[in-house]
Amino acid sequence: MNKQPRRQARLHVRDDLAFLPTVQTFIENTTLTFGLGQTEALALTLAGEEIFNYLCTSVKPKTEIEINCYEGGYYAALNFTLPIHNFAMRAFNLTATINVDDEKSLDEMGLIIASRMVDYLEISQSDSGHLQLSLRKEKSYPKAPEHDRTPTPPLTEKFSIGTPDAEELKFFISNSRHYTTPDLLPQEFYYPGKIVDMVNAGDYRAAIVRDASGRIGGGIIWYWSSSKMVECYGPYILADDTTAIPPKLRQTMAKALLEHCLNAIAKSPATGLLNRYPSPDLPRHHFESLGTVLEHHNTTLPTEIPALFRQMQEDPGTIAWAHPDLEPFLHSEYQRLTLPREIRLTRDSGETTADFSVLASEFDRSRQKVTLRPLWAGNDMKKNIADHLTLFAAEELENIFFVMDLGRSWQAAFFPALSQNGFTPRLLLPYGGKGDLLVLQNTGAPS
Amino acid sequence: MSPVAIPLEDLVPEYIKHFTAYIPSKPDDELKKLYGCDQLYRLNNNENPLGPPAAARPIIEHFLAPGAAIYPSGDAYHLRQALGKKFGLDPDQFLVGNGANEVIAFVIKAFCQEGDNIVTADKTFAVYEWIAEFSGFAARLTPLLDFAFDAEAMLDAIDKRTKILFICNPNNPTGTYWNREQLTNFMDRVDGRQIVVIDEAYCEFVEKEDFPDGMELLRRYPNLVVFRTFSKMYALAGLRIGYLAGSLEIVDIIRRTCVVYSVNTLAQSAALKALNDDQHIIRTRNHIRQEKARILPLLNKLGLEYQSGEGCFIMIKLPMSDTLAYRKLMTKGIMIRSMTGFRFPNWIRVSIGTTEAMTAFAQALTELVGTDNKHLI
Repeated sequence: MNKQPRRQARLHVRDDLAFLPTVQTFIENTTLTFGLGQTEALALTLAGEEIFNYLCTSVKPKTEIEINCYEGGYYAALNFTLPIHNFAMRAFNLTATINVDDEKSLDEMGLIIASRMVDYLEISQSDSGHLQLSLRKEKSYPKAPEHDRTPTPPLTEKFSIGTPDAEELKFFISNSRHYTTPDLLPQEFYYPGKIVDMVNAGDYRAAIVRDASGRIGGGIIWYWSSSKMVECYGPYILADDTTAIPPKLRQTMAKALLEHCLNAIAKSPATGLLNRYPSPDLPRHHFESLGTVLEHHNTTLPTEIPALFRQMQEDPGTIAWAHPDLEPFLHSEYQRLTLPREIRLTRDSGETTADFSVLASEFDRSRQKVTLRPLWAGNDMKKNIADHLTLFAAEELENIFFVMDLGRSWQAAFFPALSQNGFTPRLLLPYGGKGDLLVLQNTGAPS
Repeated sequence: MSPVAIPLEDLVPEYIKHFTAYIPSKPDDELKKLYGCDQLYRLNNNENPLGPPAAARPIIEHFLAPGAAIYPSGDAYHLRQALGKKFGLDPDQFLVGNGANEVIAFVIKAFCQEGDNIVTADKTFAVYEWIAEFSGFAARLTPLLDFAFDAEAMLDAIDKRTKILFICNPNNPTGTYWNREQLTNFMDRVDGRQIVVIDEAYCEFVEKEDFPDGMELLRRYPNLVVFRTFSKMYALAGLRIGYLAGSLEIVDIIRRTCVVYSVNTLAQSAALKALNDDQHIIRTRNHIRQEKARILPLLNKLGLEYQSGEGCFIMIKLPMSDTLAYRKLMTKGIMIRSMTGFRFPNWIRVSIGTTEAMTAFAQALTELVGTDNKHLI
């Protein structure tokens, strides 16, 4: 599990712009204390100001706002939390206060401005019904030099798996690049110092293989990508064809690394282990293929990213709520994956529905990626999604996803609007939410 | 009026926040519907396929409704008398619980306080580790050595705060065991400093001469606690009854944490009759032996690695994810135990069931490993 951040500071203020300087000072001083550089601290402070300004002028919750600043080791994070029942949820659509056809209007949108200044922004609803705006700014790290390859002599047959110290971890990360093609390596692997901090913060876990002389033969990294899902990078074995590690030993080391990761999460709440960068050494027979998503990089041809997965627990079966138009996809996928599901179809029976829908957004600017999640269904779903797409196009965000929880019946109503806006179902994540999560990707061609 | 938000973050202890609840499998009718199978053979819980001993059956079949209105004996008085007679011990050396799981909790509660730990293996019956952790105590886990408890590693794991050492003998799920010499050596080296629990849930299945009888060792080692159950050999799993035995001094301490009246009347009466039905043990052992003799050659033929030791189960390593194998076997009406949760990824444990169930399992397994699963990879 993710460890709690190490230090935390909290500020309670009314939604009154008179407190803006207080908020500004609080964020700047705290993030500097938490180790952000001047530039990063300033960026997070400006983003925080935009959020506070937006809350005071557009949302007007007429209540106290709680601002938490967290130290994450390799980042500092801000959380704005406010009770949801005191204001119209609609205000949390990114498009609520702007005209998406007017470029100038986009620049006035506080949430968008804030998203540009940070590495990560998420608008979400907490389990206790509070609305949360979470921002994260990471420290800057030097990229590992291109030519820092350290020749790895052949390992002896006898090896062990263990937790690396900082230097061993950097050695493993730096050298992984030289034995793996770039498409099979996550971006973080170009910043060894960042991974060391991520491991120290408890966000990432790492294991390496060593022989009796302490020579490092490879490693694996894993982390909790949600409260139920663990994702792993690797195993990466530090050897190429010219290195004298016999294939059998290589396979044994890779299997031992993967099983070390599996055993570490075996009795945890994890329902599944995901691998989106299947290195040649990954023991594929441990995994099932869920499907692929497309990853765009600056208008170049998209890369097809596979999602390899294994369940961590026996599948007791569950219900999947779906719009009738989605049923053929679900039926086919559930059969292919041998997942025991009862598909229950939702139908419009003329009942009164809300006028407005609400979408939560999660920005990951480093991957030009945005993920939408439904917070509320309403009659304007098609237009609301279209407006968000227009906004993302203006922001040059190419990787746009929508995640639907099939365990929550009300979310099924979004499917026709998604389909009409060019979203295609890509893959199912079993038990990723209350039920299975359906990941849809915008492919730009409305049906 | 808006509902009051419960401050769970403040109310819930850290060790509970990070603990996962065990989700038992759904009832058969629900599972059959979800997996689309007409028949379901449960080969996942190491139940005795022959059912309860003949001596206990009339008790179960003729339980009269008025008896349900009366509280049971709060401390299983008659059963403890019978246990004392059978094993030549004082009846007060026994505590009866609602299954062996409950007596595990009694022992941990009796001896551990904040900062203490228990030591056990990483790949064994999970309940020792679970109860320790959701009670706020650390479980120090040592790796198995050749599928067996590693005495040296366990001794090395002991520190000043170690209170209890748990050994599953024979081990579930590997079926390995410590012989008399290994166990007494271990007890000698612990030298009375910690409580040693020997869980003998499967001891009645063991036919090996050198298998130690924990009950006999109680006189020699006052820090020893022995667990036994009526759920496995005696096939009373549905009634939930198990017990522990120890020295008078130790049991007197454990009794302070014991929930009285937790074992129902029918369970106590059936266990009392089952206890001395030796023919049932012979019949069960014969059945397990015969069915293992049918299955193991098939596993060899299929080229599957397996671990078959003492007990009514076999562990099999598959060339695929065990959780996927679970789902595929379920569609064929076979329910096994996937072993990822036991830290044996890609292994399954199959309980020895009826001859009919084992025939169905053999067929389903053959189809499973013969199936070309490349479309899934």
